[in-house]
Amino acid sequence: MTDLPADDHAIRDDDRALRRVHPKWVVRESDGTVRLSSAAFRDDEMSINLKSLMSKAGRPPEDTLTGYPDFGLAEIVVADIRSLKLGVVAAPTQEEPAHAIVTGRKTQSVCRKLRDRAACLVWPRGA
Amino acid sequence: MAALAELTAPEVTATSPCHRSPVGLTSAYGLLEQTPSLQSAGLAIEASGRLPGWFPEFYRSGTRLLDLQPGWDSYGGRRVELEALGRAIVQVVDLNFPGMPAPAVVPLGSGGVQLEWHGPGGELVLGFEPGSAATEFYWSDAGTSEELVVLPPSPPEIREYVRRVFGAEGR
Repeated sequence: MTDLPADDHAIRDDDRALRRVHPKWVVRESDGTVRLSSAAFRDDEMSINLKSLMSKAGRPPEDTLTGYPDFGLAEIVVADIRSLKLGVVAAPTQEEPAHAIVTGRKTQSVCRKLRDRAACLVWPRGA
Repeated sequence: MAALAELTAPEVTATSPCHRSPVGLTSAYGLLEQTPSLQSAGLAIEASGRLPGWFPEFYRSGTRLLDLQPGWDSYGGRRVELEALGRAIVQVVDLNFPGMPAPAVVPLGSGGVQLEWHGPGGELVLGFEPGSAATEFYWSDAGTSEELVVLPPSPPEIREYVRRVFGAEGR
């Protein structure tokens, strides 16, 4: 029997996970194009913000970058995360009430698929 | 592909005597003078032959990762471990072949690094986690085919994957 990661089904499939992207996670190709690295999604317990909770609090997605002016912002649909046998669990903190964790094993294959499904809302400064 | 043509170099012979002990860079490329932090940390790679023109910039990109402070990724990321970076650099030296394209070297929140090659034929990622002698090998053809192993193929086999990533031009 496969162990399924913790998953909070109160979080809707159509919600969005927002993840800050460090400038070093952007790779510039020899032809000048830039792309996200799968390393951006490599953490075992991957921190995200839930867009729905931010929205409820009247905060735009870009508020995730407050205090991190050089970072970019990637967005992934929760259903896409779950399709990779990962879970999403709310983990609010005092500093960030919209904080959540993407649970489950993130192999390189899973990280690549997260990268491929992510939309970069804001590119890191200098990318 | 112009970039590949530019990178084509005469035959390269490079060796790394030991992957388990601290690796060192003592070559004729003048890199030690530019990277005192690595020199003092005992990182040295013994290389003979000729490394490609992109190697110094690749090396500098890698060593700049050592400057990342704890929490650098805003999610509590660990500092990049010299040992993990060293194994990645040694891997590049070992793999080196005429026309080999430069990999990107990218930090991981775990303190490791990964090498990445992307091209029309897909992508190849080699992961180096701190405190582990194993290298994670991942290749995808950008379609449905992919391979993931923790014990990687031999350098000649990895070279073939690099060539696959860059298609016929890289062969």
